Amino acid sequence: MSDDEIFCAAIENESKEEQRACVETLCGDNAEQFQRIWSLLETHHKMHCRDHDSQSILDRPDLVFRTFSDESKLAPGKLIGNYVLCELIGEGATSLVFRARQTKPIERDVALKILKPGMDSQRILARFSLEHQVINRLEHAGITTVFDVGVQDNGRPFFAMELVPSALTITQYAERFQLSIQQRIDLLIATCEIIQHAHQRGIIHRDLKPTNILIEGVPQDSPSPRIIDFGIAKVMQPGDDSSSVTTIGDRFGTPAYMSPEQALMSASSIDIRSDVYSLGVLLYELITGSTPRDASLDSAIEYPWTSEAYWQYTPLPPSRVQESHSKLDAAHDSMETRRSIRQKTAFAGKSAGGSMHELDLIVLKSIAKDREDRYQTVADLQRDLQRFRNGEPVEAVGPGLLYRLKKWIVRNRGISTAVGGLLITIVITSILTTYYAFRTRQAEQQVRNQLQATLNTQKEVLLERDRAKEAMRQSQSLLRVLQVQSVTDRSLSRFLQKILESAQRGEIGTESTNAPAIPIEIEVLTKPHDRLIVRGDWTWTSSRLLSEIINTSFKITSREAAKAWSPTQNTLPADQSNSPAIQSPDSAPAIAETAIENRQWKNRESFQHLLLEELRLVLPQHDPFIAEVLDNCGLQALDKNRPDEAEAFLSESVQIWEESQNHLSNLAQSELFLAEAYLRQGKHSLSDSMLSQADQTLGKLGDSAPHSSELRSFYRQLQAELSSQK
Amino acid sequence: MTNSITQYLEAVRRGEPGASQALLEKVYDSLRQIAANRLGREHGREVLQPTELVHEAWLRLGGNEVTGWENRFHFFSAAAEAMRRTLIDNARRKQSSKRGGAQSKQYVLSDDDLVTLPLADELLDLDDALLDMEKTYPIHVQVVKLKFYAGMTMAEIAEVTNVSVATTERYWVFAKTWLHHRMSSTEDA
Repeated sequence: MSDDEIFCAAIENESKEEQRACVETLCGDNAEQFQRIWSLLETHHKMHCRDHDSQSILDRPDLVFRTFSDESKLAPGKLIGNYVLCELIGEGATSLVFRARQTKPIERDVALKILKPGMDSQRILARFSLEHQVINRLEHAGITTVFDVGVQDNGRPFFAMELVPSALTITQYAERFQLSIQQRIDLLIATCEIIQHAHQRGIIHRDLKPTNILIEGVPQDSPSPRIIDFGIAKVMQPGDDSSSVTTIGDRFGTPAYMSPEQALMSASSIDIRSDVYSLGVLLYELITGSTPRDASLDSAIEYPWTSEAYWQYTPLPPSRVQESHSKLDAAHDSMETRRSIRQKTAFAGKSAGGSMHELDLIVLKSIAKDREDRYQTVADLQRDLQRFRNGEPVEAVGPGLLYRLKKWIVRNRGISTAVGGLLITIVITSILTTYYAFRTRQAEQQVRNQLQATLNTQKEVLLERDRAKEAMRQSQSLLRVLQVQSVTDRSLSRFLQKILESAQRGEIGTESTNAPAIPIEIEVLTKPHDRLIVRGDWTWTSSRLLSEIINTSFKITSREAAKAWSPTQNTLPADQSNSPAIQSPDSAPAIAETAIENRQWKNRESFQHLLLEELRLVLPQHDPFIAEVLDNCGLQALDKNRPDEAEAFLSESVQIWEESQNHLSNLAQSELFLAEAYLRQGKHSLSDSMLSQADQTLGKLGDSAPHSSELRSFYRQLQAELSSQK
Repeated sequence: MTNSITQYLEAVRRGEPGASQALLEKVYDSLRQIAANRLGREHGREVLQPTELVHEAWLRLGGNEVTGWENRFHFFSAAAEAMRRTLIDNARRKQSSKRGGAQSKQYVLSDDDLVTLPLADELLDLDDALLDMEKTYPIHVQVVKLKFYAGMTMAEIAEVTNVSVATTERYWVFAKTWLHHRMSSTEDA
């Protein structure tokens, strides 16, 4: 196969591993070809990482054409409106920022933002003009004002902004003036305040990073940061789609500071928590000197947002970064920087209100990958930093406590009942509530959060209870099957033992002619009684293993019986005296059965009776299975012409079936058998009333129900017999 | 003039000597006229897209009456080639006049080609890479030219090259990756 065929086959696969396997298979032994295609796939992979700056020129034909057909030149000295360009001070994806000199009406230095040549698509133009509208909505000392908006000769817009003199980025400032950890935190608190101002006015910045937070480059007591570049800001306007101008397909933003949702999700679903994330990264960088990704990931490898490695990585807590000496190669981040920060942090641990651990938690909470886990607003972050500075308990530690509470409930869920769990949860909630009522007003929010979490936990407990119920139901039915099986086994062994004992006592014997080949007990055990019309589910007793046990047992039993019996009774012909039971398996049980049939076995307890006895020990009194066995016993008694015994069994089973809702056909059957039992005893009136009762039951059962026609015909048969006897 | 384009195309299809060159010049002239008209009319405010240019040329030259995908293919190939040459000439001119052959790619703030210089380099690199690729993958290169220089959509390319859209997409992805790989590896070296 050619390179392109293999390449195209490989990229059909999702994961890199699968792609590799695919290329390996298709290239076979051709290592050179493999290498060629594999390096292409790696390029392909890189090209599809959004945060990788390897966009191909092939994707930008518009830019190429626009640029080449553009005649305007942007150079220092060029006059745009009332402004003379001085020097380029910033460059974004779509625009350039110049320091420019305003000539009229007053002379002053401004920052002039101009679209890059070739960037004047309708969308970019719309966004560009939206930016100054956004800034105009924000009146805050921390946000540079827009002085002027204009249009160049070539139709492209520009705007002039307040210039931050000799501006440094927030991180540069912190380095230049060797700020302590507290001062760095204060810088971030000040930044938070500005962002909060913007959020309150429905504007999300979406591109917060050091180069967009400037501070005038002179030593100050309380430096005031300035936020610039609202170029990709999002305007939140409920129900207003015009804000989408700023959002369509914006893949701009800076990877290291970009929240995962901004990198992965559509721009329109971004909310203020994205800015919380960026501020968290900034705080991380202010404390440690590097961004979480640089500190935690091997910077030699690219980690795209979509890669598993990214989602698996856990940012190092800032305090750990300072301990780590290994990854100090980031370009903007010298060894000295790290060391100086480390020294500062050493005393920070003592003099600042909170511990380094608390600061770790604040930072990690801000940069949680799941925005639900972050501070929900910038104000929350700001307040927590303030608390940290004041030595008050910080909210970031809170979830730990809650987590433990949750854990506790989960641990005890197994032993306490669900209701118990709920009660405990409620008690703990009220204790928590009481406890926090003594705290400051700011703690209220925390309690609310915890209540919410507790409610969630309660919901979980309820769900868990439902699940437990279902599991209980299932295990109960399983238990029943097992119980019935073990009872059956026990009854069987008792039954066999009794036969064996009888045989040993010499109670079995005399004639052995014409006995059924297999004793009726086995019939009943392996399948319901022949006369039963409605049969229960006896499948579990017909397992091959069980049948085998029965057969073997009967063989042995019969052999024993034969042994016990032959020397004394001596009725076997001489040529059969070496026990026919051993030679012919059929005749062996026959002997045992004969013994039962002959009533020489004094106890006369059938297997069904034993089973019934055992079942009564383990099953509820009115278990349908007991009724089934009662029916069997009743039938047996009828067959052996003991209708009085049958009456006792069957009246009990009728009672049980009457109580059970879903066994109308069983009920009818038992009623009919009972009627027969009465009939055999000559109790005609009882038999008559039982028959009419059965008739009613059959009426309820309806004609379409299974077995109804058989039951009907049995009914008619009995009625005919009754009237003839009368 | 409008109905003669078919004759040019037929000549190319029959493989007449000089026919390709004649077609190219015809298309090139048309493109230049359209560009000049539009730029004059709109005061340079809106820069023409290659897509618009090529499609307008197609209409002006009577492309609607052209039948058969092969003819359409020859026309758009010629258009792409004309656009490519324009761009390359432009890039070469800028490069030689402003820099005297220096290889550095850094921004020179005093230079009035502040933004366009790196693009000129990239464009020339791309052209080298395309020439290279053409030796092994001529069809892929054709797709790139139609897409990049003539601004055609995948569906249009599929139509004039008489293959499925899916195949065209595959050609494009492979070529893009190949070219990018080639360009980034020469950059490193």
